[in-house]
Amino acid sequence: MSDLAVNIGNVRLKNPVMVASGCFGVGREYGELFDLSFLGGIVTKTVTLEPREGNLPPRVWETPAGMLNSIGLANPGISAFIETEIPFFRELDCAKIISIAGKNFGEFVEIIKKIDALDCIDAIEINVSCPNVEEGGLAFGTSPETVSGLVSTVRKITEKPLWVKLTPNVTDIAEIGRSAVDAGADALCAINTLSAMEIDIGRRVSRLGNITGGLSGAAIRPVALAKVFALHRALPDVPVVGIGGITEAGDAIAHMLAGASAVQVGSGIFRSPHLPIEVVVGIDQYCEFYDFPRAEDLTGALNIEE
Amino acid sequence: MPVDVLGKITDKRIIARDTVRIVIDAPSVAENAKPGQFVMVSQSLPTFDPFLRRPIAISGAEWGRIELIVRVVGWGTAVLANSEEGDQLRVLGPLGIGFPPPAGHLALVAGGIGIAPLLFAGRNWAKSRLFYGETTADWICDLSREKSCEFDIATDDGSVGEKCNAVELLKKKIDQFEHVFACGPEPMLHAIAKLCKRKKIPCAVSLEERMACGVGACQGCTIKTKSGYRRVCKDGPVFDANEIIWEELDERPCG
Repeated sequence: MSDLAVNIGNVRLKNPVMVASGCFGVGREYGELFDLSFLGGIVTKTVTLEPREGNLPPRVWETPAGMLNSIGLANPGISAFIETEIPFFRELDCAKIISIAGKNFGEFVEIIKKIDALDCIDAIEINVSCPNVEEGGLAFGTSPETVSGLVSTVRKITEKPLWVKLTPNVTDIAEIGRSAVDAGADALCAINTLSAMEIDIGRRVSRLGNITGGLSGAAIRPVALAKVFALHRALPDVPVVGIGGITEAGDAIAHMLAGASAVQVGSGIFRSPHLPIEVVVGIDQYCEFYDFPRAEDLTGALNIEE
Repeated sequence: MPVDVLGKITDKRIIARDTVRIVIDAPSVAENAKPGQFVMVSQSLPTFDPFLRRPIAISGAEWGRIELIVRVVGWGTAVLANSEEGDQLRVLGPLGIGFPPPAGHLALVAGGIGIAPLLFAGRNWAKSRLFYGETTADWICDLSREKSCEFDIATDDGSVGEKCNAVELLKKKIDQFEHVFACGPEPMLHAIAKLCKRKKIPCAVSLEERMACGVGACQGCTIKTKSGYRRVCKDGPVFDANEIIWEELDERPCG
């Protein structure tokens, strides 16, 4: 058995496999199917300051090798979340990361003030890349100035590790990543979903109630790998969490070879609830077979001849 | 508690046009299954086409086996319906809440493939009668194995049973019943909900929705109810008919 533990800044994960925000709630449902302590970490569904009902249904649509969603950050708001979800979440034996989003800087500050006192939260993932909300989602994450302003604002009010989740819907993801890191981010998570839509040509309507949504699944894996690679190449000392299109262990290994220090599994879980565990086992087997004593040695271990 | 297992198909037969009945050996699913619950199903070696599993109602569970009725409505259901005896399927379930305990004599009202969960209910609760509507005889599922429950059939063209729909069948005899369970197209469910409200008879409806996770995590299958958005997979698929805002469902851009 290889040493599977990895570090994302000063957050230690027992293995590199986390579950991505929005696909797992806080683990209640999937916790009925397997022991959550096998996970490296759980990233919660994104929490906002006020409760959000979410977008008009239909909210999901299957696409070739993937799916669209336009859930719209449905969540009970940070106060109710702390009251009803944290008591369950805090007891889990894995890294616990809370994903947050706000309509403006002030909302992010309000949320983080409430989270900062929670010892059980190991890191905060700042979601500035949701394609399904009008304010604070993509609009924030596509501007280096806004990302920089936001991260430096929240950096002042918390010591907790700040991870910034980036959108692929930009010309140069490394530029956005650098602005986040320069402003004090501890790690970068890439990628969120790609802006996407499908159309019912018979009725001439969108397949989604919110018209457009975000594409995830195997279809986006090559895009995600290129973005992770771009970030790692531009910022070799910054931990990158690879997200996008992981449906088997090999996909997670590819993310790590491209430069990710850890990964998050998202919509692949919907196909196979035990996928995160299969990925952990697969990474271990790969390390044994190819003689990597530690999983962290996989990060950026891509052979490139230039 | 749901489980995710590989189950072998022990029996498969065509029971109507584009419709198969599949029996799967899955003891850990079968032993906990209740009428109204469903499973998320895929081929044993998942492909990317389809990417997601399909939610399928459980139409029976006994002797360690579950029974599913699959009608081909797209590629995902075609893949499942083309599985053969001896093949294995991935089965996650049982999922969702089932039907409530019936309050006395029970009317089961099925429109089209909505028959699937109601067959399980009919086997489970002896004091029940099934009202089954379809467009035409070809689509009527073979009910010759259903011993435990009496049924009336209607088709839109009168090719078998009465020439009317399931709601009209129910209307004629509704005063004999103390509870109604219904599954089928939304306009049919809406009509039944109105009828039951007028008659002051409790009515539970089983809804269908496109799903991603099937377990309540992703919030993709929500519908608007009188108590806010609810997840069809976890809070349903069975709902009290009075909880549903039917106008919202009727206005859906697609589904």
